[in-house]
Amino acid sequence: MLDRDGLKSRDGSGALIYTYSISDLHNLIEYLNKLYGSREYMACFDRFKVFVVWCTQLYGSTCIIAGFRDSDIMLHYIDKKAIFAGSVIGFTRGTSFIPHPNMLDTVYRCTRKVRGAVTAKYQGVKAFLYGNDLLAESIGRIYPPIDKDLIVAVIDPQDNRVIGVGRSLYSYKKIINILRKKRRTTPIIKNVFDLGWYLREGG
Amino acid sequence: MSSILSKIRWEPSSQARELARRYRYQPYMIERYLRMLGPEETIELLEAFENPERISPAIRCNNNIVRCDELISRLRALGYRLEPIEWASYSYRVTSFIDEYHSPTLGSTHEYLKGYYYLYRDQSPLVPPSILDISRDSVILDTCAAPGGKSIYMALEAREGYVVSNDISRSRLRALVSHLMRMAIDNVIVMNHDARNLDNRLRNVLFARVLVDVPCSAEGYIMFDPSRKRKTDFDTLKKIAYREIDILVGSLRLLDSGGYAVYSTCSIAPEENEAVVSEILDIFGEKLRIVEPKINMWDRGITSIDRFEFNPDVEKCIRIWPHKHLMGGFFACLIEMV
Repeated sequence: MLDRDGLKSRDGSGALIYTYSISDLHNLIEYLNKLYGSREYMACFDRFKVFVVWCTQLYGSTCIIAGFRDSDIMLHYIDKKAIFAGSVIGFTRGTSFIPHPNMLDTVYRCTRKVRGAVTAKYQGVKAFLYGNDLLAESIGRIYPPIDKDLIVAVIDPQDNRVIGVGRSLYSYKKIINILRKKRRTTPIIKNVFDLGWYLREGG
Repeated sequence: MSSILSKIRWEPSSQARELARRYRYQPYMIERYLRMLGPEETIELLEAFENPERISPAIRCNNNIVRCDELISRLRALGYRLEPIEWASYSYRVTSFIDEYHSPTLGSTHEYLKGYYYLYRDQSPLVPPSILDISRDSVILDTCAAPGGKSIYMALEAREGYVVSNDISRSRLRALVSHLMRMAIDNVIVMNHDARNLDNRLRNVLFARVLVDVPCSAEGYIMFDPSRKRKTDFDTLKKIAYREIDILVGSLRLLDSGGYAVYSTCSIAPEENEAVVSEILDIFGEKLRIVEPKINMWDRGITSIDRFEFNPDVEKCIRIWPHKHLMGGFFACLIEMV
């Protein structure tokens, strides 16, 4: 994900990279800028004093980006070879960035604006949590912006929690069109990460 | 190396051999139960180990992200019956009988996936963190933490503090990290070292609270894994006990003076419990003392079995028996560094 210039590495191997500034997390910023069109979300990350990219092979080549509220404590334990800590912001696989549902929940609550998301109907929630794609018949509300290939959040309307993220297979206009034409079984959101992953692969 | 442990030997009687044959145990285990409990209660214990359904699972509500009353009503709507556990925070025993056909299982509900609770196989693992006297700003070391149930409980209690969760097994730590992400718990620092020399890694750091829930023979959890009836011969058990001493010594080196540690196992073997604590008291001398926990709704530690005498202070420890307390067999001891 990250342009590592300007980021610091404590162990010299690049496995643990940290930064004090969220602006250094370029892919995250780019993603949230796309959703919000401004930097109004920045305040949602104020509680974090340090950000760490954990590439410690816990999940193969997937790295975890997390924020931590106390930089002194974090750096102290990074020195002692900690392998993970903090509030998860997202994952990186190669050059791609996958926002974590908890981070999107936080940003939606903090900005009081849901962006780049869809709500799923009951069957859709169930299917998505099993790792399946979200079909047209399971789409409830749509929160723009949604572009083709943009990672969007899938929300369970029962408690308004983000249950996962997926890649939109169509633009907003095209999705509306598909829904209007009642092409019910057309996949709309390709599952990228859902909370069921913790059961299927997390342990 | 250790005096009490090296002395312990069990010569199985014919009664012990007969029960061992009938219930398919290592005979030394039955001999030990007979000496600790007598014949009638030994049968009750063996029967309890045959009936895992008597043990209720438990959950700890993630009060960071959900209102517990809301969670409970949602689980009740799914058909689960829950009762608050009076001695543990935001924790509930699940009293309805859950069979394998119950869908969704407690470990696969949407509420679980959203991180609204942690699921324990039974209530026993809630005992060690409940007696450790954790406050909102506690800084706690959990030396053998994976898969993380106790660390998660403590992290939820110490919301303004943090937990350093260590484990030697990287694959088991993967489960711990997954639970932390699932439950949005942000005050746990995960480390991957051998607890026996963790003090070398964490040089110049001392903790006011340390949890040492050692990898053990799991002799208290035979109802969930019947292979434990025969898996551990006596020599292996002793090796496990010596390892437990080493882990406890390494962990206690990180305990600050005036601080508290809890030593715990999911075993009912006195070799892993009262004997280990007695050895530790010998090693550390007056620097350590066993403290009576604020709660003990279960049995006290055993001070002697036949001619084998443990340190009398082990009486202050907690012993949980499956047949008496309807929980997994467990041992927990609160230790203060003077």
